[in-house]
Amino acid sequence: MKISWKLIITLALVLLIVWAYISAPAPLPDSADTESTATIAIEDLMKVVAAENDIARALYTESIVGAGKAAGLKFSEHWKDQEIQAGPLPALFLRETAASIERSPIPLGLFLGSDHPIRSSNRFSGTQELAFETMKANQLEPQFFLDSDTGRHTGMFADLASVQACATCHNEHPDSPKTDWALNDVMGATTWTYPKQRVSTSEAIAILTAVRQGFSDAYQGYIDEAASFEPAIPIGEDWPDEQATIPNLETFMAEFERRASTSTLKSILAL
Amino acid sequence: MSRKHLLRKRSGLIIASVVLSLWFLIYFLVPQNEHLLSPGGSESCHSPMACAECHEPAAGTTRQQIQANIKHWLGQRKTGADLVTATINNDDCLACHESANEVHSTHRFMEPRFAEARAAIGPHECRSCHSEHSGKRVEVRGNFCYHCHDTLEIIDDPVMPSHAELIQQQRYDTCLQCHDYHRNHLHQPPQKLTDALRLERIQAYLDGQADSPYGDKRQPYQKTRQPTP
Repeated sequence: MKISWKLIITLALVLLIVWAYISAPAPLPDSADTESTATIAIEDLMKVVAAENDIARALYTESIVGAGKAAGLKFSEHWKDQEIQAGPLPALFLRETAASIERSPIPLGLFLGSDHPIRSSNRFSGTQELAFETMKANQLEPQFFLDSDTGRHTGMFADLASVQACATCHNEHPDSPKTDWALNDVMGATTWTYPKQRVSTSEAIAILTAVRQGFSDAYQGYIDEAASFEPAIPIGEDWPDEQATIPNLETFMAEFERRASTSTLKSILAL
Repeated sequence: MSRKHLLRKRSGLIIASVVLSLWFLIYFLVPQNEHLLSPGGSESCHSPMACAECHEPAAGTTRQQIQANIKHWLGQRKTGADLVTATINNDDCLACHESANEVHSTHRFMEPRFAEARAAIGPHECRSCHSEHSGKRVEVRGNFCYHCHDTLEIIDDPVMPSHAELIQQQRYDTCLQCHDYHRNHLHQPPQKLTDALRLERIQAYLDGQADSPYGDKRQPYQKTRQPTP
């Protein structure tokens, strides 16, 4: 009997297909699939984290930077330079927070910009500029849009001069393009980005945790820097008043939680 | 030449090819020789590293990965899957190279307003500039700063010539003469361009042919990836 190679190859292929089909492995999860439990709109969650950010920045600006400067402590945009003994300015506190969030596995982006920034590279352009103008024209209503370039859902929130120190420092900065800032002026906006339109409860908790960890890491950065100041500055449970002291991380975060937790819990329950 | 002789010669060639292929395969599979597979790795900090320290296994089995990619190709799922090894991303680089002094963090460029810069030079991804395995430290040429800094305004500018003049003259090749892009070296920018680093010296560094002209590295990096035992 003559062996037909064509027949053997065809049979082998059929057997291979059958084997591949019946022993097919469990499919890998599709990262683009939205979980069925994802019921929270990212816009609503962004409002919660933006409110937490406002509280953390107001606390840092007023009780650490404002009171600290009055007590003789220094804060600088070059605070990381070895020869400079200073803490981060409020805008840099936010940047440190954003860097911490970036280090976490949570794909949440946080940025700060303005139409009159001290560094011109922080000036809004394109969709952000349009959204910022719309926000100012609509009673500071947060603006949400899908950034087609990055595919990220984006929320912009007004950044106010919540304490006098914000306006004063920007007015006195030699590179400031605007020198008549006043209390409660809209100095810019925070921009939050996230790749999903809806998130599950567990994702929402993870996002909130990452943001709070960001505040903690940013403040710890200041504590670490302050530990090398000469002469040494006391770091403990006291807040700067007439004495140049720095509250430790536990004290700072406890005060933040005291100010934020009730409103955050109400917001979460309303989601 | 007889047909028998031709067949014998062809068989010999096939056997020699198979033996040679097997030898190459075994030779390159020996862990000590895996660096020969890479044509680059000129960075002094990378050359002693094993491939797997950066190239981690992709999620799932190879069959699952193939299945996912075929389904993606057929339109039955939204995303494909990495095959064999995971795609290198910023996290892999930042696991060792994250620096507290970083002034051009990749994540900052994910802000919507950097769309043009992202499209042009990809500053949001480490590998846009540092492709590795090329023998060079940096792939892009020096004139990239204008994508973000073409409107730079420094009111109380202490340098000579001023930043505004340099930008007006489009002398973006001078940026790196004073500024260390990642600010991860102990370098203080001079106040006069005449005191700045020479372009040739910087280019040699970017090409992987010379040590950093910006001086010693700021140490330590925040994290250090443990070498493979």
